[in-house]
Amino acid sequence: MTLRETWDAQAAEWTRFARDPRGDSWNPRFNLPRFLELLPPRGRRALDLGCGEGRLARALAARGYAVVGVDSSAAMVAAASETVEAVVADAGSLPFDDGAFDLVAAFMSLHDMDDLDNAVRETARVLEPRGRFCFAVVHPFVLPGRFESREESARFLIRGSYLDSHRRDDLVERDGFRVNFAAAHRPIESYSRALEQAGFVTERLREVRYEGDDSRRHRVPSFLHLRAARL
Amino acid sequence: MTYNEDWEREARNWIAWARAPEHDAYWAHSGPPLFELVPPPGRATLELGCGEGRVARDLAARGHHVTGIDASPTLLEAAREADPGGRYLLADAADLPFEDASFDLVVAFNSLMDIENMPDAVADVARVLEPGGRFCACIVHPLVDAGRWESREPDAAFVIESSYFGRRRFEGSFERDGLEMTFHGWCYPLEDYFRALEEAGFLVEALREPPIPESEVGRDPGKERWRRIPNFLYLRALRP
Repeated sequence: MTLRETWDAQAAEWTRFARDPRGDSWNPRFNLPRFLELLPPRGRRALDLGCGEGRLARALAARGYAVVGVDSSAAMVAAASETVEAVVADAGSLPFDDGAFDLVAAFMSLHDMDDLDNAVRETARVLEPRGRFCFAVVHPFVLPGRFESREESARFLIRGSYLDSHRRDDLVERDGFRVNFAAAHRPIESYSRALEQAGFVTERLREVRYEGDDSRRHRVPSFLHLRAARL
Repeated sequence: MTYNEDWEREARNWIAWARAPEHDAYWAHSGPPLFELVPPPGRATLELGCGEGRVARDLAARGHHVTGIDASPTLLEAAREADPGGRYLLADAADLPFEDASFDLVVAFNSLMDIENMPDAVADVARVLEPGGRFCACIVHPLVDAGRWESREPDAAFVIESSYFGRRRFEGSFERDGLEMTFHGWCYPLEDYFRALEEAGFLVEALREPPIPESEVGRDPGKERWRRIPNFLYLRALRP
């Protein structure tokens, strides 16, 4: 199964998880607020790349951005369309004119795409010169590892490879939810090379730290946020 | 200016360590990716923290017009002895003795971690670069700085026990093939380097995390684990 198929198959469950405070607490509590700080002020038109059920597009619309979402999953787009404008398309073949946007934002979606390089190349095409591309991903330093226990002093271990790109499947079953956080692990260099090839330069990089009661997670970065400008 | 006492104290050890062919990672592992990232020779190149001068000499051999600065008089003396025609100056990286826009390239090879005030040094690099100039840096990979290997086995776990975040003091003593060296410096999360670059007005063009080359693993199978986690991270930034 491709990542695309995995996420499409669990679109309904993901929508339930993302919209329930007992489901997704990290993103509304600290990841999304920090990501919104990274974005440029609202401009002409923004694209939410890999919009899923629409959480980022809703947050942008609430802040006055003119935003459209795009996702390869028709089921995700149907859920997003309940509240925001969204269309079904592959990130590697976007149904928009050159320079149609001054902001493309990909919140926790690039690592769910099977083809990073083409997605970033298409992002550059639909951005106007000096437009911004902002993305958030699970921090690549932690995606290939895990804590060895639930103890407060638990060590964080990377047993596999950071440098080799590979698929991770992480099935989370709790509180009546069942979501496979399937993702492509890619080292930061892979993101950098995709940006370079598409004509981006990086303006800002942030390593977002978990905020909450699980003190183990205060010691390692949880998310990577990056803002790039199209030359 | 103040000398870097840690490097001045270790100067003799470092000269022997850095000049023994193939002794450390520079020759086959950490050096070559730097030269892939630096732009072709231009008007004037500054090397920040040149030490005994091996990177400056290798840049000069590639056609760069190099000025090296360092905060250790003993290391500078060694650099001048090895390259009598070269320009090597005692200077503080955060207070460079050059006019604005004096260089079109600044290189910092494993030296940003040794400078007392890294963000001030990066800001002064931006000042002495002309618009369109490049800053190329190699640092110990921030992931490696945050942890350690559980063993030397190829499948050894990489372990993080304390915090990745914040500025932390580093001290490490090494003994290899009859040579000894103690390194002092600071560890920073990756964001701290990017913040320093951003505040100085740089745009990052390239980031590299090369694995150790296969050839090095062939020489020492105990290095196989470094195919999984990169020892060094390289950045090339543009001063707009």
